[in-house]
Amino acid sequence: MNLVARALSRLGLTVMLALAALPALAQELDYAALGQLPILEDGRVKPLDTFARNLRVKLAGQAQVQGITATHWLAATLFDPADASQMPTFKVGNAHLRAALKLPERADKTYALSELAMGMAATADQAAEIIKKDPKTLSRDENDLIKLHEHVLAYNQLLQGLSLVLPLPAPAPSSLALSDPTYLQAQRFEPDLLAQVRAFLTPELINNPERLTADQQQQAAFLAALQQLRQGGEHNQMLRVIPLNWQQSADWLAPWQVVISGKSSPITQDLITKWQAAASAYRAKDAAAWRSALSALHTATLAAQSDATLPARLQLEVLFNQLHLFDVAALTFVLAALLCLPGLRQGLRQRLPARCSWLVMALGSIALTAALACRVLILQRPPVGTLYESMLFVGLIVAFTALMATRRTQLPALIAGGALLPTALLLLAPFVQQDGETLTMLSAVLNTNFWLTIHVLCITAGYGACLATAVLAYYMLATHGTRHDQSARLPLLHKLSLVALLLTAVGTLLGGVWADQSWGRFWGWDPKENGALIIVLWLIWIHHSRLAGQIKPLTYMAGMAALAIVVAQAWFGVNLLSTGLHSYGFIEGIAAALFGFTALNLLAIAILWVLARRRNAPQVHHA
Amino acid sequence: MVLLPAPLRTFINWLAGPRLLFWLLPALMLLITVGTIAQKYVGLYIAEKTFFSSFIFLAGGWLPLPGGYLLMGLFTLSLTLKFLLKSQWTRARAGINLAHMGVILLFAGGIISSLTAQDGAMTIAEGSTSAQVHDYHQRELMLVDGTRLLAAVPYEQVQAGRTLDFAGYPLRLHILSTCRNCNITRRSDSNEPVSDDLRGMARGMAISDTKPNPKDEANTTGLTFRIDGLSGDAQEQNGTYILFEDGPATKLTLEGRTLELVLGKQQRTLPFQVKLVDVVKVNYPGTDTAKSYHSDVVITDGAVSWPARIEMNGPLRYRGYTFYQSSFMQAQDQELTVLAVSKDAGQFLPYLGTLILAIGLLMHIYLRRVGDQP
Repeated sequence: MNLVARALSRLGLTVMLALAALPALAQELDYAALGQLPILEDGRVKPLDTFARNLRVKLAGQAQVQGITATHWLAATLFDPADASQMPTFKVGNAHLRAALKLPERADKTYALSELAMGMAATADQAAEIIKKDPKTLSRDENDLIKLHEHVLAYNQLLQGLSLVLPLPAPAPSSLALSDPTYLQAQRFEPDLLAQVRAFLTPELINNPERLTADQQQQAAFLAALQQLRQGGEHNQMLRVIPLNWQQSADWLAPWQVVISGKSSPITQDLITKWQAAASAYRAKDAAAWRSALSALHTATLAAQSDATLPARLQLEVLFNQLHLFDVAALTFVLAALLCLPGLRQGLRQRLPARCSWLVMALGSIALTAALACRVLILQRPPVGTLYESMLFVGLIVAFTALMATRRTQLPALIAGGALLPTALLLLAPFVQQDGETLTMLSAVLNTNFWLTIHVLCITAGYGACLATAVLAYYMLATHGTRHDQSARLPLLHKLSLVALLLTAVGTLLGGVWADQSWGRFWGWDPKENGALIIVLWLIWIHHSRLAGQIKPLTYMAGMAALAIVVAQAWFGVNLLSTGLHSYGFIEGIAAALFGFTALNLLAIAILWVLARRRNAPQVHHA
Repeated sequence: MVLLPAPLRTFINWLAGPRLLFWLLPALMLLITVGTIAQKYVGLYIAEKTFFSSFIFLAGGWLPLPGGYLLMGLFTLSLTLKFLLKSQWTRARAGINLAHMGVILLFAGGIISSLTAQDGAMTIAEGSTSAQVHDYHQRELMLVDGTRLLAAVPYEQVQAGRTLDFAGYPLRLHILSTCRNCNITRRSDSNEPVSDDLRGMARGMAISDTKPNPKDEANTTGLTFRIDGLSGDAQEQNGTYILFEDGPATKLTLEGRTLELVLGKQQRTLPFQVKLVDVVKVNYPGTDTAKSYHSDVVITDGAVSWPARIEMNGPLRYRGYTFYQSSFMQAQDQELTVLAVSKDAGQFLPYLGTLILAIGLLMHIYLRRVGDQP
């Protein structure tokens, strides 16, 4: 009883503390609201939430660093650059570089701009020399130094993205009667100020600035601040948050571009004023004003553009960013694989966890489907256009194939294999797209929803069917001749591989038809085409050899298991050649991993085949 | 079949049987793998010629191995014989038979294409009209009078030590050297001797052979040649010349006419004309990345003209020719379009083959849904 009383007492205290904290929480700025605003980046209008996350991942390696969310970091960067330059922003993973830049060692290896400033200045000349070299000859240290300089330059541009609506760093001369003016408010005084400063700033005074009066010093400093800001803004194109729809253009401009290019209008002026209101609210830490300013900015920006679907797509993308559906799917798949372990010996129907594993796997597949559907709706194109996307889609196909096959066979191993393979694909996919989930636009030749749907989905579904076939073949090979012999499943293996053959053959040929439509030839012996053809030939070879009785069921299983190797080479291996017309798939740095995968699979298949033969199991005869 | 002599029947049975296929398919896969990897080192053009568009190739320069034509020819023959002589015309086998027919059509299309297809490109500036298509790979040495082609020699026949005559013209070229991919340098910077014998560009420049570019179309071919035997006023033109692809022409005055020797990609003339009205590149907003390209053209065939649009994934087909939007170029004050042009009598067969193969495989899977028939 005492225990319960103590617990209730503690609970009451917690509730009271929480209630006491509410007013304080209410004062916190809602940084997520900033993430709802649209920005044009890489040819696509997206929420600032995505922009901030992508940039954060690029600079710091992760979206949230030391508890600071991406939108919080972006708000500080845009509205309070001095504060932002103290925030952890750049990951310097290279120990040599950290030593060269005299950076203190810390666990997360993430540093603020202020910490890097001295090192950047000291290595600027070195970086300039390195850039002149052939990129192929650069060492890892040189590459990392160049990359860091590029990141700092990009971040500097963002820091100045809204500098035109922030208080100027120098106080205004008293003659202007301006209190904490911004560049926009003070720019009209620049010609007069310039004339006044030119009038008193003789060469003698330039060399002896201490002789200037306090008022003259203030005028000169203010003018210098104005000019410096404008120079910094002249090439500032990163923060494209102002739509140019009033000019019948799909382009969006950064505030500095609007001001400097003279493409101003009442609409753009209104938007820039609203950005200024948001900046003021942020700097005053006024939560109510911040909410109100961002809401007004959101409404005005969306009203200033013409895409009726954009508001819904922006909301969906923010939700997509928050839900982390790919992570949810991967975790669910792992859980499904773990749950089916108790049923590995008796089958899925024998144990409760094993029975649940199918359901959990189905939930994971739904999460993965939802993630891909979000991408389709956001990008307004079919789900596969890049190597990264093909990995996600193949994962889904493998999961669904395993689900369907398991419903019929109740084989827990299919759940295990069918869950772990998509997990591996989901985990490996970011490595082929190192900038993270950037939802990229496609090159002109790929920009066709028709062919992306019928050819790319068909061939990638074929890859998925091949991998699912290989999973089943592995299981049959491993259990061949044991108490759990699955030789009776040969018809299922055969049917699965026939589906794989149908999808890969038709997908490959549809690729030929697309090539004929866009490049003028059906077949050009391009590496990607050849890779797909080899998968088809492999399947035909194994099938016909089995039908003609030239290979036994055991070798047939081994051949189907080896399909995993053939697919991996056709899917990734040919991209390592960096030649041919399928240039959008070129990648580097996976040769060792691919070699390891191939060697491991060859070894595994050989061992399983030899063990199965030694078990001298009776062969299953079938038509 | 029964009317054929027994050895021939045995041979045909072997051709149509699974044993040949069992060895043929891995050999084909191996060839494709080797030919694909080779592309990284020698480029697509050379790799295709060596491995895929050949009956025999020499591995390591000495070991003869079957090339793509031989293996694919055998495969097509084997499948056709199997289809005609050994197919079981039952409902259960209908899908398989259809799929086999689809594959035969695909290979038939491939054979017709390899025998008849002509590929090339035409580059047209906005406002200009052209009927000239240049080949991607074939070069030729041309004797030109103004815009009129008088004679052409395929570059393959331009070999060091050979002498070229141009019928009807008092011109004899002794080929001294050639280069598939020429390195062009100032003569003063090269090891080549300077002599009074040098004429034209050769006085200031020299060419030497360098490593070929894997992209064959990017190679700059060239030759050094000597002219002698000219007499009279033309005598002073006797001497040593150089000529390279896309470089200045060698001008010669013969019998009162100024003729030009030009080295360039082989030209073909279309039986109609194409005028480029406008070429448009649409970028993704805020970027320089192309979202789409298209060319608005006017086709003129005899007295008839009509407008047409050629765009990415949207080719124009006319009189057996197909025009594709290949590229876009921005010169100083004008825009140019590059159109890929192909003529292929076997073009429709892959479409038909793909359709029949897809139907066949679908039917086979459908028919197998009950039972476990092969």
